[in-house]
Amino acid sequence: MKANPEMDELLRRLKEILELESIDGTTTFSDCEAWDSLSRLSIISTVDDLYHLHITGREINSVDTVNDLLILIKTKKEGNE
Amino acid sequence: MTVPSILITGACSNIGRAITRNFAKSNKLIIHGTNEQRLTRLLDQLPNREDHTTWLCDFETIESVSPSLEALLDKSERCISGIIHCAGKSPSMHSRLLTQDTISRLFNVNTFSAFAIISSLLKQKNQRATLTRIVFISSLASTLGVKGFAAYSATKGANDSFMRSLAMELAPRVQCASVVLGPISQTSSTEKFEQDRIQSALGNRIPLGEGQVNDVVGVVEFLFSSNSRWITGQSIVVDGGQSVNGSIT
Repeated sequence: MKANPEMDELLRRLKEILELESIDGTTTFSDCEAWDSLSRLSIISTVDDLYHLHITGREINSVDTVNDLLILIKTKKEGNE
Repeated sequence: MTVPSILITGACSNIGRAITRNFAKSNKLIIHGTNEQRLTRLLDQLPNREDHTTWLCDFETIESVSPSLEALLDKSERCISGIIHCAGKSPSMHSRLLTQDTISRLFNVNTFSAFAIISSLLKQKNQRATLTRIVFISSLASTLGVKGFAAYSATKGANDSFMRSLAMELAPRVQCASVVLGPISQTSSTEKFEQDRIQSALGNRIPLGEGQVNDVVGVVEFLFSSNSRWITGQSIVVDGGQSVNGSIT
């Protein structure tokens, strides 16, 4: 698999935000004990920091899993190009 | 002969852009941003385009701020008559997630950039002579506790304190103020929340309803006018009454 340091850093930070031991694409945010309004804001800030992309509150509320978030980031990146 | 200009930092943000468009009608501007395309697009939209110039500088790299500004002023033969500091980032997160790097970058953009700009101007006699107004765009977060905004609040509080001491140091030639804003619709801070959530959470707490970017422009304009002649060192609260609302019904 191709190394993707940006993605690794995103997953590392998501793990930290959600206080998880491990994380993958199927992790569902609402199943995490630490998932709350501040976690959503923390993810928005993390995406902004790593990708310079602005995710709105409405958008973050529409994602259920880590994979959904990755798709949202990809879509936003393509929209910015 | 240098051209007196007003420096607007963070001119491409929603609030910065509204102030820039208004001030461009009757002032010469230096508009600052970090994205060249957005900055050029904004410049192209301004009235009297040839009166204005752009300053591309990433405030996260704080060491570059003073040299970059000094080079721009030399090259463009401009001096600064006023500063409107709109530049700011507002990351919101659990305090346990704040790293030294995050905090440093945030302070560089929101606070230390203003220190760098102002101290750089004050060091130069010709620049010092033309500066008459400094306005900081601040936030209610500087005085209220806001969950998730610990570092941001600290930067805004620092700016307000900096402004007050500057006002004393630079009076009577330079007037300083900050504009302390409540939630303004469609800014990067409020877009993080769902609009209907903001309205239901704040609807009853803001007697005048949610603010719009243009609500800020008039206040900044006033602070730059002769009508504010006897005002300095003040934080002007523009929040639709939110911060004084003690109503329980």
